[in-house]
Amino acid sequence: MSDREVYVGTTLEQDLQLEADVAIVGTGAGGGVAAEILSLAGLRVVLLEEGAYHTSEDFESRELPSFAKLYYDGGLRPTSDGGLGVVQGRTVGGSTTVNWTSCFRTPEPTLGFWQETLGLQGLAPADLEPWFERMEARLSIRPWETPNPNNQAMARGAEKLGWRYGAIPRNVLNCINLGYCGLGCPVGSKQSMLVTTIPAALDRGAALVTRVRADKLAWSGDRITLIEGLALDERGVHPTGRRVRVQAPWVVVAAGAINSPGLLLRSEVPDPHGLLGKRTFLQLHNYSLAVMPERLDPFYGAPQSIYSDQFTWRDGVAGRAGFNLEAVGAQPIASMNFFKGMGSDLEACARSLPHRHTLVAQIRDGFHAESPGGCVQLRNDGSAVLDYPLNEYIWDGVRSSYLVMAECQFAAGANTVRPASSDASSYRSLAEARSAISSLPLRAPNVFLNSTHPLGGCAMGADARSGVVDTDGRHHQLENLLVIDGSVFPTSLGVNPSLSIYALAARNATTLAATIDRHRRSDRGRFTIHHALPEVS
Amino acid sequence: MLRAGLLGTATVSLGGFLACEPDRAAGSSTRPQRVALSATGEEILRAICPVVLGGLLPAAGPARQSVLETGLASLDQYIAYLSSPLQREVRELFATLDLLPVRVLLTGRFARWSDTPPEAVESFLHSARSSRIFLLRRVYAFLQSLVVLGFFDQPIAWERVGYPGPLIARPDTQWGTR
Repeated sequence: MSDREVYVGTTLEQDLQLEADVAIVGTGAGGGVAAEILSLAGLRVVLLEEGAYHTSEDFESRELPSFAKLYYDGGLRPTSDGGLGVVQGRTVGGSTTVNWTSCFRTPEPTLGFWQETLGLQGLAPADLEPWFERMEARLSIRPWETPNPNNQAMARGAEKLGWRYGAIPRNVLNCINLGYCGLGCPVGSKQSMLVTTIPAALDRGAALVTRVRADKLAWSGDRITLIEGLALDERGVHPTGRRVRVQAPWVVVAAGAINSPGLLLRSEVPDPHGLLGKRTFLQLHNYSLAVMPERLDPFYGAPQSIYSDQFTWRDGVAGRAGFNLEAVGAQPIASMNFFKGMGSDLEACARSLPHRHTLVAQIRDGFHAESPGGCVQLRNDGSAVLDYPLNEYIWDGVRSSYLVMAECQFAAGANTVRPASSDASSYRSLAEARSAISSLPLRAPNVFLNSTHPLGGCAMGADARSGVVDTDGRHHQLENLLVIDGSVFPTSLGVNPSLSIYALAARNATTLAATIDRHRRSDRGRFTIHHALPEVS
Repeated sequence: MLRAGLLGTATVSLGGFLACEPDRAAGSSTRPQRVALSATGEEILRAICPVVLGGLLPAAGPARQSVLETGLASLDQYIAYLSSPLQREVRELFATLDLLPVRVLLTGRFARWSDTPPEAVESFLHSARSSRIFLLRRVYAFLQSLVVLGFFDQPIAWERVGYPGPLIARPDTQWGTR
């Protein structure tokens, strides 16, 4: 690694200036994939990352310090009113370093909605298939066949109820089923950007600057002229005063939902139709906690390996809020975070941890007029914050999914089931659960909601009136700016988003490489002619 | 709604003002050096920890003291990694909760948090959790979360809940920065 070009913002003793063919802000699913493809195309890439360069050897399998160091706002990034938290990685590799490795192709109903309702072309399943295949091969994505007891219980419940369910494809290689995906894979099995595309890009001459926050994009006319970054202290919180400036003819923003639109808003880039930061989706996660008679030890083993899409499209694509279901298992802090009780109630819940079975429903948003999502705004200090109002559409999805999750858990043999709401209690039968859930008051933040899937805010649109970027990720107003990350999706997806981001990033980075090559050839043509003219004359 | 509005305003203005005074009042000379957790925040967390954790916390004595000290030290580090606006919000929230009128309103006592009896703290937490005012429900969820983070990070907590600990042992790097 010694000859790789890596700068650490914290230790810069003077301002840093770099030049590149392509500058990429962010090293997650979008930035990582783009960096590898562009580097392999022979282009000089510079990557900027706000987090630190933690590697497999650093990952300590200990929750609190890992959350603090590897996640934005310690994994609790609050929406503007604090009603819920957004979970985003902030480390080299972005969220791919800390995600639970669930990789799904974008569902066909979602792509169909984009094409038929939103008018997006070129994103049909057949168009994307080669890109899914390419990234599945690159990241060793295949269905996980040895679910832990926590996931087996979900499969048991779904089987008994006759629901559609299956094994989740995971991006892992030689995974030894530890279960610490969320704290950074300590054995390097997870094929995150940290161990795949980023080292590959660095080996092809890319440069990486860590602990630098992209503050602004300077622009003039229809072009970005400079990226201005602020070097950060050792915790990645306060600027040190050193600046990082990157000049590049092409700029890729890949800072994820919330921070990508935040950077563009801060830079006051043209936004003639007021679309920037709007339609940010969360695919809100709500949870159901059961106690099983047998020991599940949910803190060990691949945390997520069984899914069900039985209810994802329950009322049609554009109908009532649908949700996909997955099992959730993790270590004590993450598991207890779903439970907001105290005293003897908290103690009883905590002591049942080895028997705990947790399900999550991810409520898809953005497909219905009453599901406009949230809006990214800037605080007075310029930092980005998401305003995400909870409305009846969402609460309907919450209540319906509480009922469904209780049904699955009782079918799997649960002794008790309790929705993750501090207004709920433990129910001993499905009948009791149904009756209680149907009249449960649903209110924030007592209903524990969060999201590990923030999407949108720089949505793709067929034209400038309907999107911030086009389907190639090209900004509609600034010609050398692209957005390549989860912020370009015009709705949520109905599945965990990583593979959708990988595939679209692969396609759009490949297109960009071809575009740059074309520009270079035509520039070379002009160059030759200019110099040839005197000889001719 | 009106009360929510007023309390919200108090959070922003008075809390913001007081948060500018580092470690006012409660800071005793024996308090460990902190990076981000204010003296006020620490005092409030010490008051609510036993109520939130109940029987999970060791009985009063050196073992309990050790759990509290370890938890507070970890929380201090955790908070120090939060973004500036969130750290500010945390400071302001604690400062607001420590205002005399707010304390009286929430606990019905004139006492400092450290002198508020557990029954009064418990009653405050219960009513905040089920309050019709969103801000109070949020205060409850936030305080409860901090206690959970600080406690369940500790091996003594793992023993009590049947978590055998990480499968791969690593040198205890913990809060070292890089």
